[in-house]
Amino acid sequence: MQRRITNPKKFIFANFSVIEQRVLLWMLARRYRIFIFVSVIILLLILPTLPYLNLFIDKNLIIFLIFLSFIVIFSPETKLILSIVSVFLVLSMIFYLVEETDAAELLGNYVYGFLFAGTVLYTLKLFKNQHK
Amino acid sequence: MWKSKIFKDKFLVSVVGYLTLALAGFWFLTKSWFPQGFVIAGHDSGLALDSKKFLESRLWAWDEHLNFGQDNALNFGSIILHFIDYIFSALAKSEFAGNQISVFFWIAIIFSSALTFSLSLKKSLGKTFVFIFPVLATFNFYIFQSMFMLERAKYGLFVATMVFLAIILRVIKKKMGVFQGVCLSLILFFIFNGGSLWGLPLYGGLLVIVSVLFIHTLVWSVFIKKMDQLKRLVAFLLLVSLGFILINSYTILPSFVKFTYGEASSLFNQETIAPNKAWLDYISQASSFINIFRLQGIPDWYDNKYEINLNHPYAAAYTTDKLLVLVSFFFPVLAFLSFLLAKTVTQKRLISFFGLVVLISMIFVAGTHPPLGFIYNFLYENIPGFAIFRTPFYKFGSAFFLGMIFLISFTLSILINSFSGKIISVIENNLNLIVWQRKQKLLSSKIIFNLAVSLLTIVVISSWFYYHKVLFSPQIFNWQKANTTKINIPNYTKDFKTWAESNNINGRILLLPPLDEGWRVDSYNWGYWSLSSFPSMFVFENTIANDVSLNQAERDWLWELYTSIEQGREERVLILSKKLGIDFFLVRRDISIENPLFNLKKPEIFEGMLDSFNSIGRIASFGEWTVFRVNIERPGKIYAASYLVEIPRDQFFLYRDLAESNNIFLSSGKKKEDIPNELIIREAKSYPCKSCLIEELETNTVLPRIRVLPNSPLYLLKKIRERTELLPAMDDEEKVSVYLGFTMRRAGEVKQMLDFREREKYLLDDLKVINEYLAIVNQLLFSGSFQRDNFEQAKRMIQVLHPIEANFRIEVDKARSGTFSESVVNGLTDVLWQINRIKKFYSFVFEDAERWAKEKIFDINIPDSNSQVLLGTTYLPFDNNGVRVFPKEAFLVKDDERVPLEITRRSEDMLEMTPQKSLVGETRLLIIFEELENRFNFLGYKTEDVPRGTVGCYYGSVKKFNKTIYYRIKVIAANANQVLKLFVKEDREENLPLTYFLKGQREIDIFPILIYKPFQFIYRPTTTLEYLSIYVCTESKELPEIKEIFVEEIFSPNVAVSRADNKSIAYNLPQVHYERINPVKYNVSFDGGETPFILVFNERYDPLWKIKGDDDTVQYKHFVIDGYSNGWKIESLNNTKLTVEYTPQKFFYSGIIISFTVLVIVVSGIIYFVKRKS
Repeated sequence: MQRRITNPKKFIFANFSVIEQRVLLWMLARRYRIFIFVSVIILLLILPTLPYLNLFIDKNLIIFLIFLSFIVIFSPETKLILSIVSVFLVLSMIFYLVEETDAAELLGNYVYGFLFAGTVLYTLKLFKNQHK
Repeated sequence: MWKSKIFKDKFLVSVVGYLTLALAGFWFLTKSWFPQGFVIAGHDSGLALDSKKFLESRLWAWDEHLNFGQDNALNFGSIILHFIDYIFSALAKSEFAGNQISVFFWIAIIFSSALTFSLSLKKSLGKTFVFIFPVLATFNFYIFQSMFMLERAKYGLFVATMVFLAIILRVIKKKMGVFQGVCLSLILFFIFNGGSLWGLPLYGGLLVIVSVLFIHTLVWSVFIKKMDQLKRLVAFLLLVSLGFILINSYTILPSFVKFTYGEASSLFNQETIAPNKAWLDYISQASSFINIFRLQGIPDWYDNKYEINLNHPYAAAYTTDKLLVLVSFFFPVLAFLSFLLAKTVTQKRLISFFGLVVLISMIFVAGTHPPLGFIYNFLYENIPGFAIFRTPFYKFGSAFFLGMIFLISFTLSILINSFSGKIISVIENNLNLIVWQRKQKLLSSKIIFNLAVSLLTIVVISSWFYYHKVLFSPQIFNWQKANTTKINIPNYTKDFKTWAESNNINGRILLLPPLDEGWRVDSYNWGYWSLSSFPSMFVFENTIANDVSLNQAERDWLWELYTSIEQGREERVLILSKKLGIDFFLVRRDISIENPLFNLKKPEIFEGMLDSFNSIGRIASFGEWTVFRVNIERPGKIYAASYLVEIPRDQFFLYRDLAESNNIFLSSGKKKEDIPNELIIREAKSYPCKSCLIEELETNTVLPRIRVLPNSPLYLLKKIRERTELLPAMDDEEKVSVYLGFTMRRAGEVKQMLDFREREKYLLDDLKVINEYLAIVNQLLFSGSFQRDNFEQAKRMIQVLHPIEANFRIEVDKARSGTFSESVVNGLTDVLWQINRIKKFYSFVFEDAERWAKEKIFDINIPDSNSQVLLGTTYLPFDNNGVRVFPKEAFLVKDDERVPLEITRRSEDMLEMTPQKSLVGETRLLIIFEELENRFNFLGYKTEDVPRGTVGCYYGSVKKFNKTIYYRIKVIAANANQVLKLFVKEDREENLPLTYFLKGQREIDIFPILIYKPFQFIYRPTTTLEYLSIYVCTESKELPEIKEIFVEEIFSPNVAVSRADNKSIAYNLPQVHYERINPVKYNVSFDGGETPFILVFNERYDPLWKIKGDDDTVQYKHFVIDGYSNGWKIESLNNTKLTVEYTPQKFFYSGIIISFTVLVIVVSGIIYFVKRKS
């Protein structure tokens, strides 16, 4: 605490550089995945502009598919998925309490999607590890 | 020995103590719910009110005490359930199945089986899990949602699912042998089999769990490349499935026989599936994922997607109380936190399995609710048999709740253990006293840990109870705030039961007044409310009421009898009572007459009428109930009959006109040879009113909305489809119909292209094709094969052409301002010209169409010169004094010849008319009525408030309004230059002052307003209200200028042609003697008499009722008599002794042998395994 007050600039920059380094390393290790993810996002954003597909693809579905593809492509830790789910649940609760039930329901649907993808990934990882 | 072993195992001691404590708690809880005399009864619980007699009735494939008899073969599976009911009734010394001991048993068995399940996973999941899981599994909204009707079948399968899971998981892990597991599972599914075959959908949850387990094990085996677990699972499931069929043969065999005779067709029939779809959507309206995650979404809780059912005793509290809502959002967090807390491979595998069970079962639990509702929809509409899952939440909920509770219990148990560990370290570091005590060996860390775990477990369980506190109150027996199934049955009903049983009643007892025809429930002011009438569940005599189980013919007969009593027509009451085998009338004065939901008739009316009859007298009174007896001789249940009147099966309503002849009606089948022709004394056939089709015609102006327009690349597919559909049209009528269909669709395309300002090329192409099609239609019409006075064809034409004409006229008007090119306007005008030509073709029908209000045309067939025309009076209109309006004159018209009809007989129900000159074959009947009186009662002018301001109105009421009749309202304006609106308003009282804006059931803009022609509107009453007001209002305070409003009934009389065969042979019918062996078997013998004759068996018709004699070669034709009972044609008396038998009973006996054999094998197997282990 005392150190932060005496030399705050140094502290922040030191940390920034560490964070930057970590982010870069993370990106480097997942460069192909990031490319695939960005491509998928672009594809998903183009989809609703196509005739006929625009009849059943709405923005909620696109957002959901983007989140889902993130989970599938990056296979994040269970902890991260559960953290996202918790945030969505908290938001859903807030919407529910202010009687915005449609928004609460939409977030609930996202939660379902994350949990489904997360559980399948969890199961496959578990089985894979056992095989090893 | 075993005692000492138990006491050595401290954990086992604590489990036994825990179970004992829980059971004691349940006992006192249920005791507090049921004070002396109170039981659960009613709703559609199936809880017997005399459990012994109910169990006895379940042992027979036919239940003769319900209405006209009812099949019971599909209910054999509930024998075990009702046996359990009977045992607890005997223990409770009560005849009612819904007693306190029964309720205690079902709560206790759910808890115990949950404890068994959690105990089986103790090693993998820890000891704390063992104590938490059973509480959560027992006390939740899924289980208690149906406590008001003690849904034993559901509870039984929930119990079976938990124990079966415990077995299956042990079998997979090789902790239990496959055969041992199979034996235990079979015993389990023998006892808890989901009740009758109607309980089959309750297996939905188990099906999901087993499917997920199979896939989970399959993927696991593939990944680790070891197939032993999968092999064990497959072998186990196959053996259990086979064993299930064998051990439940006593229910499966008779059900299979019944299904082969058509019961199954309803599961696959689109006509049954489609109407249930609306129910499915209704049930799924609040089953969103977010509600389900929160362990809610129970259909009873919601009125619609956004509104809570305020009638539910506790739904509002859990959905609006902010704290309770907040808590409910923790459930999914707690459940899925288990994924982070699982440490060992076994734990992870279990968590992943139950996680998948939760998520996959959610797709089913949510039903048709978005976003994944389309999956359920697809399965429901396309998978044969899936239609049994009409209530997804209840049928798949067991899998979801089991999975969620498993995950939540696991998380809580791990958190408790973790906190307890932390508590020890805190205590050890901070409290020297404890350290000293430890040193003195008074407290070990294990004891402190166990104490902490116990305390935290108690806190967790108490918190769960606190959240679910409503489940401990008697409110759970309220299925609505003001209605409960916990009732105290009055003593006078018991007195009636004793009287009925001691008097050896043979005939049927009709319940009066009838049940409300909308709800069809039996409801009393002391609380009973059920789809099954109270006397039928309590008094095991043959009672009849117009409840849900009647078929249409039975319902018609009963209504005829109810109406005849109400109208005081004694002779008809006696005829009908005799025909229906009714000996007694039970008038109940304690029905819920005050309940605004029901439209019940007053008991005093029936009581008064029955008292006024000479041949019917009151014989006993029991409090609010009075019994009347019919004092006439009537044939027994089995009797011989001679002549029959034949009417088509789909025209059973003719019985009303012909019943007085007291003959037996035969609804003819398709095969002529099945009908005993020589016994037909009269044939009658009904004909619909043709001109009435035009009268009731309501044309709409909406063209179909088209998605793929001609400028789309997909339009080619539509063109191909059009071509392929046009080709197979064979006859002219079919061709016209197909061309008109495509004309309509293309007109929709044109309209949309005009709205969207699409390229004219496409418009012109479409208009060209429409003109070609209409030209072909015109060509076909004028070719000679179509009749100009064919009302049906004319109606179909106008329904298709009117919207095209209305829309294209508007477009042509628009085009005058230069919106479209000349070519488009020409194309549209050509279409209008073609339509004009078609309408001209049917000028006979459409010109002067108002005359069809008093001239009714029928196309009939007169088979011979002895035929009469019967005009049913039921559908004739009334004048303003309530007197029926009869026809002025009637003619048969054939080839310009007019033959008048003379009224030869007139009764209350029909007019019999005979042609003055013989005219045989296809002919046209014209019935002419006087002009009907104006039913409008002008009350004056006044101003009324509407949302846009105050308006001036011309208003009045409709005299003698009848909510079952359609009305034609004609508004004749005195000035064409005004803006008028018609309000048609149904009221509870006549001329009721408005307490809100003027609002009608229908509000119609009067346009165009013409002086020479009245504006017409057909009003179809929509509600059950008794009065009708009509307002014609302007747009301002200025009063409307109205010349007259004319209101008249639209009526469609019922005409039949009857051919009487003057058979002079008076049959010498044999004396029939019969002996009732049991509900499914009767021995019949004959004395003297001649053949042929009809042997009538006055029980509901079922093809599985068979008749046989000593001579097996003789076949007896079996058909429906009177629309509901059984008849056989007896052509010779070679067999003087016959047996009438309901065949599914035999299959029940065969099934019992198989089931019993398998049961013995299974029990022996279990004994063998137990001995081997010991």
